[in-house]
Amino acid sequence: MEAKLLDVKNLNVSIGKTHILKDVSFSVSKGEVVALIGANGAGKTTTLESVMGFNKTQSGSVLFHKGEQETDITNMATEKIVSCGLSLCPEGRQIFASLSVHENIVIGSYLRKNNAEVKRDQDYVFSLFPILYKRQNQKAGSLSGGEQMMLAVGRSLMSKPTLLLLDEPSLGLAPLMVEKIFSLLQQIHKDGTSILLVEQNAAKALDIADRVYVLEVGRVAMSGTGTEMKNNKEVQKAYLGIV
Amino acid sequence: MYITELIINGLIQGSLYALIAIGFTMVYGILRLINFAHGDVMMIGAFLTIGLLKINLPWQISMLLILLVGGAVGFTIDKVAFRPMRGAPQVTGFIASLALSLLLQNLGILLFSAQPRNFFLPEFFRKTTLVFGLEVRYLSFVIVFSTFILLTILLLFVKKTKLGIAMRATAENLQVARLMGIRVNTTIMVAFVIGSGLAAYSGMLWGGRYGQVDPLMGFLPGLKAFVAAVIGGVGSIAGAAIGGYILGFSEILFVGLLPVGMSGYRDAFVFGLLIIILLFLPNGILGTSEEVRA
Repeated sequence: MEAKLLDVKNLNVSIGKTHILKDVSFSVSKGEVVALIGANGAGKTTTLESVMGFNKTQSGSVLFHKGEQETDITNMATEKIVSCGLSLCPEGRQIFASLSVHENIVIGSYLRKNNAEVKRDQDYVFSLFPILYKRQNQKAGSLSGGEQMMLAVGRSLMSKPTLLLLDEPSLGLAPLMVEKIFSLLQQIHKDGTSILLVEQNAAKALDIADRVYVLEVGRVAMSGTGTEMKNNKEVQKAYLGIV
Repeated sequence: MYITELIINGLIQGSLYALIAIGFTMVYGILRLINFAHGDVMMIGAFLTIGLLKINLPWQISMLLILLVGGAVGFTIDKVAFRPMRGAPQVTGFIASLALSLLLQNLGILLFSAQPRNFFLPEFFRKTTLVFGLEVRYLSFVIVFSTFILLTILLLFVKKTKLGIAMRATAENLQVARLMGIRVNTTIMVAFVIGSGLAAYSGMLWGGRYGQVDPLMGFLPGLKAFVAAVIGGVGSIAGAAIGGYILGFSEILFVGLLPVGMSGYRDAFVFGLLIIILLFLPNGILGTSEEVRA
């Protein structure tokens, strides 16, 4: 197995008085696509947000390996975590609607200093999503849902993450658009970015994931490779609608 | 002739309000904090000017220093009063700003007494020239043109620079801004520094225009600048400027065109105007509704 990129161990997180994540452990290795699936309220989004430092963790640790270096990013400030090489594309897209498409892309590279590299990645994003290039000067809020999703992914890529975290990229999109987004995600993965994906659309997630973790009420209930999970009776029944 | 006079006065008054309103709107845009102490920064600027002129600094340097020291005041206010309570409910910040406002006012009374003092700008500002047959002070030109220049620089900064884009992004969605690696505390600090610098500068101009200053002078202009920010659409810098000019003009026009006996009610008219504008444009002129955010 390749070296671990993200290593989450026994994570416990409460929001207010509610204990949401209970001893959640999972890992993402370099070059993998890992999916977290589960029902509403299973704690998928909370897991991603806790990795990104939005929530205080009670116990457990989040380690991130970049090259040889291991960094403990548990409870680190979000902006520092981003500079370590993680980037979250948040649930519901959340692009900056009042900014232009181009400004959204620019702000994605906020922390980077090397203009030549930024320009290259900008070209890369525009080659993935040509429609964004055409709509560069438009207000981001005027884009369609699918275009906004592309912009959100493109914006996340602009920080040149080692690990891209995606929260429900299929949310609220037409089936055709979902197909398109997922094939683009595979392209991004092929181009060298590891992916941690949270999805309600389990079928799609299982299709592209190397490994899968199933979350049930804040705990990791099952895990395995994409194919294993696809053939797992319980997963089929609960998440794929196959009886 | 009379109309020319009104227009010039409206421009002047509007510029002064616009300069203060910008600080209100920048801080509110990011923090959703109504900073009642903002008007008092203007008072600090006015008193600072007296001090700087006493030590016989050339006025050009004094003007620059007021902007810078005003910025430093903003930095301190953010650091001491508001940063420690970041993440607390909005009402906490609101109460804190009221407390800070009272503190600054009373500190002013303690140091300078509540007695209004005369405020003289150097000779240069008091020279006059003829515009359409009207005698206009140099100060009036300085107010109108320097406001215009500062506004242009600020709008370019917010529109073109990376930090400016980051500030707009932070104002729209603070959480996601952090996901871009933006240090939110930095953008908030910049908003306080710029806003307070402009407010202090307007304090100097205000003192020059009315010829006297006192420790409580910041309260009403602060309140009106807040109104200007609301009219323009809170959070929008261009809106705050537009709101400032609308307010300035309407105030001057009310006084100038209404019968003499009514001019005492000008503030009532001004706030009435606020209500009417908000009835038709609940988000202000350039403001966007928070609800449409999808």
